Amino acid sequence: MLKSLLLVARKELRRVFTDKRLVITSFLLPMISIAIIYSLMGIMIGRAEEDIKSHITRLSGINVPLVIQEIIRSDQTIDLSTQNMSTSEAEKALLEGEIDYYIEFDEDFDLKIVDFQSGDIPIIKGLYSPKHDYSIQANYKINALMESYRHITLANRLGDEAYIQVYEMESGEINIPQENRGIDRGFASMIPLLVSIFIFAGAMGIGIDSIAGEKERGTMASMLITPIDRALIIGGKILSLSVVALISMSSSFMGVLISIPFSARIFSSTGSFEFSQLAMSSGDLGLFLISMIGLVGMYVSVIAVLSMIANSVKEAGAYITPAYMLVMISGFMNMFGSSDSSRIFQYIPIYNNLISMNKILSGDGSITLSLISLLTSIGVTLIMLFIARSLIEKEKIVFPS
Amino acid sequence: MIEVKGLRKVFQLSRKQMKVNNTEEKYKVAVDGIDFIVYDNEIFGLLGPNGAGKTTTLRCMSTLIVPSGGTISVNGHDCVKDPLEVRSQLAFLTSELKLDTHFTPDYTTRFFGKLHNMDNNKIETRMEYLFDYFGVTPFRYTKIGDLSTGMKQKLSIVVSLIHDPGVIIFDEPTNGLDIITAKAVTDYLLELKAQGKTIILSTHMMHVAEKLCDRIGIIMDGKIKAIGTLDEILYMVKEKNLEDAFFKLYHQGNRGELDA
Ligand SMILES: Nc1ncnc2c1ncn2[C@@H]1O[C@H](COP(=O)(O)OP(=O)(O)O)[C@@H](O)[C@H]1O
Ligand SMILES: [Mg+2]
Repeated sequence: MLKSLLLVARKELRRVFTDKRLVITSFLLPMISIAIIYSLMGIMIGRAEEDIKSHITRLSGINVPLVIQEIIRSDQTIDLSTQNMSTSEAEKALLEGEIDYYIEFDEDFDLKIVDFQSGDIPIIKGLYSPKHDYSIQANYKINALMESYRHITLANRLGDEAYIQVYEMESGEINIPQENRGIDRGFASMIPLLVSIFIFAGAMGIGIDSIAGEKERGTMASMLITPIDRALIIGGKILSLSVVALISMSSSFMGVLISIPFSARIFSSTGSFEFSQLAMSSGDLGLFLISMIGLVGMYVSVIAVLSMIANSVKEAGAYITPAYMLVMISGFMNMFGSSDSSRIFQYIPIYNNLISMNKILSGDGSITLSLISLLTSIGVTLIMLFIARSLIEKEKIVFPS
Repeated sequence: MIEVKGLRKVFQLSRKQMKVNNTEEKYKVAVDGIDFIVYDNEIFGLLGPNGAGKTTTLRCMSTLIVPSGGTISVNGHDCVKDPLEVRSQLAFLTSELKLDTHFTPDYTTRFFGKLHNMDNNKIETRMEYLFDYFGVTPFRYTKIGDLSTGMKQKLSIVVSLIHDPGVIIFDEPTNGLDIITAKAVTDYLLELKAQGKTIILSTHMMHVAEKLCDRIGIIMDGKIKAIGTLDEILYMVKEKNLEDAFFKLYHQGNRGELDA
C-alpha cells in the first residue's frame, strides 16, 4: 500500500519538477517577483523618507521677529525666503506646493512678549497643506522650532533655565530573558501571514492541475482502470502536493530574505535588521514547524477536495478562490489583530496556527496552544481526507462524462 | 469467461445534459437489462448505432462505472465486489483514456507496469516486446506530446496491455484511425486471439463485426436484439447479410416504439 502511495506521489513530483515551465512559474517566478517587489517597496519608501528628510523647507513669513529669524537661520534645513505674501496668496502657494509653510506674527509681537504681564498674548498663525508631505514635515519642524523659542523665552522670564525643567525623568527597559526575546517584532507579525499565503498559493496552481486538470484531460481515468486502490491515487497526489507546497513556500520565503537588505525598513519594527535576529531556539523552531505543517495539511487537503468536486480547471479555480480569500483574511486578522488570544480563537483552525506562529516568533510560544492547533489541524485534515476518500469512489466525481 | 446478467445502467442527467439531449426526463436508461456471455478465447462484438449503450456496457465491465442493476463477472470475479481483481485481469482500450503528454513512452509504460504490481524484470521484457511490435522503440524517450497521433494510439495500446491481461475490452477499436493503423490494430486483435486471449469489442461498423468477431451481439437502445455467430443471426433474422439483418432489427425496433 505504502509502495503504491509513494509510486503515485513520485510520479506527481516528477511531473512537476521535470517540467521547466512549471518550475519557473511555480517556484522561480514567485521567488524573483517577491524579491523584486519587496526590494523596490523598501527602496521607494526609503527614498521618499530620505527625500523628505533632506528637503529644505520653504517658509514664507510675515512680521517674523529678528530673534526668531535668527533661530530659523541657524537651522540649515529651513529657508525663510519670502516675507511679503498675503494669507490668500500663501494659501494658493501652499496648495500648489510652491511653499511648505506660512507663518504670520502679530505686528507688535516683540513688544507683547516683553510686556507679557499685561495679559495681551501675541498670536502666531501657521498654515500648512495636509496634502503635501513636505508641508506636513514643515508643520512638525516649525512647531518644534517655536517650542524651543518658548523655552528660551520662559527661561528669560524666570531668570534660570533650571526653573522650567520641573523634573527629570529616567525611563528604562526591563531586561527580557533570552528565551522570551523572540525575533524582531515587525517580522514576527508579518511572517505567519506570509508563510500562510505562500503555502496556499504554492499548492493551489499545481493542485488544481494535478486533480481537476487530470480529470479534464482524461489522464486520471487511465489510472482508474489499473488495480490500484483509488484512495491511494488521491492520497499520493495529496502527499506530493504537500511537498510542492513546502518547497514553493520556502522559495517564496527565500524571495523575502533576498529582499531584506532593501526591505528591512518596511518589515522590521526597528527599521534596521540583521539575519541573526531571525535566530530561534530549536524548541521554538520545532513548535513553529509543527504549526506550519498543520497549515500545509489543511490547505493541501482542502485544495484537493475542491479540485475533485470541480469538473474542469476553470471550475476548480472558481471554487478555490474563495478559500484563498479566507486564508488571506485570517492572515491579515492575525497580523493586525491584538495578540489577545482569547479562548475561542484558540480553537479556530488555521487562525490558531497563525496565532501560535506569531506567539512563538514573539518569544511567547506556548506548548498548549501549539498542541491545540496541531490537533485541530489534524482534525480538519482528516475530515478533508475522509471526504476526498469517499469522493474518489463516486463515479460522477472521478469519471464525469 | 465473462457473464453479463441483467445489466442496467441509468444515468441521472444534469440540467446541462437535459438541455443538450433536449429532454425533460431526469434519467437516461443507457443500458436496459442486457444478458450475454463471452466465452474464453473468442472475439465478441457489440454492434450497434451511436447511443445504443455500447460504451456504457464496456465501462461497467471495466469497473470504471458501477451498474445500476444486474451483475458482471470476469473469470469468476464480480465487477462490483472485487474490482481490483477484475482490473488486474483485463485491459480497457478506449480513445477517452489519455496519457500525460509530458512524460516519455518509456517512463509511462514503466509507471503503469508498476501500478499493475509488476516487477521490473517483467516490465522490461514485456515492454521490449510491445515496443518492438508496435514500433514505439525509436520514440521511447520522445515526449508523448511530440508523438504523431498514430504513435500515441499505439502507445495507448502498449500501456493498456503491459500487464498481459487475459481479457481485452476494446471500445470502437478502429474509430478515428487511419487505414494503416486500423489494419495494424485489427491484425493485432487476431494475434491476441491466437495467443489465447478473450476479446470484447464494440463497433458501429458492419464490416468490422463481420470480419473480426466470432460472435456478435446487436444492441439498440440499451437492449440486445440478437446474439450469436454471424450465421446464427442471419438465420434468426432471415436475411442474407449482416447489414440487411441489422436494418431489419432496427426498423422492427422503431415500429415497436411507434406501436407502443
Ligand atoms: N455519463 C452519462 N450521463 C448521462 N448520459 C449518458 C452518460 N453516458 C452515456 N449516456 C447516454 O447513454 C446512452 C448510451 O451511451 P453510450 O453507451 O455512450 O452509447 P454508444 O457507445 O453505443 O454510442 C446515450 O444516449 C448517452 O447519451
Ligand atoms: Mg461509444
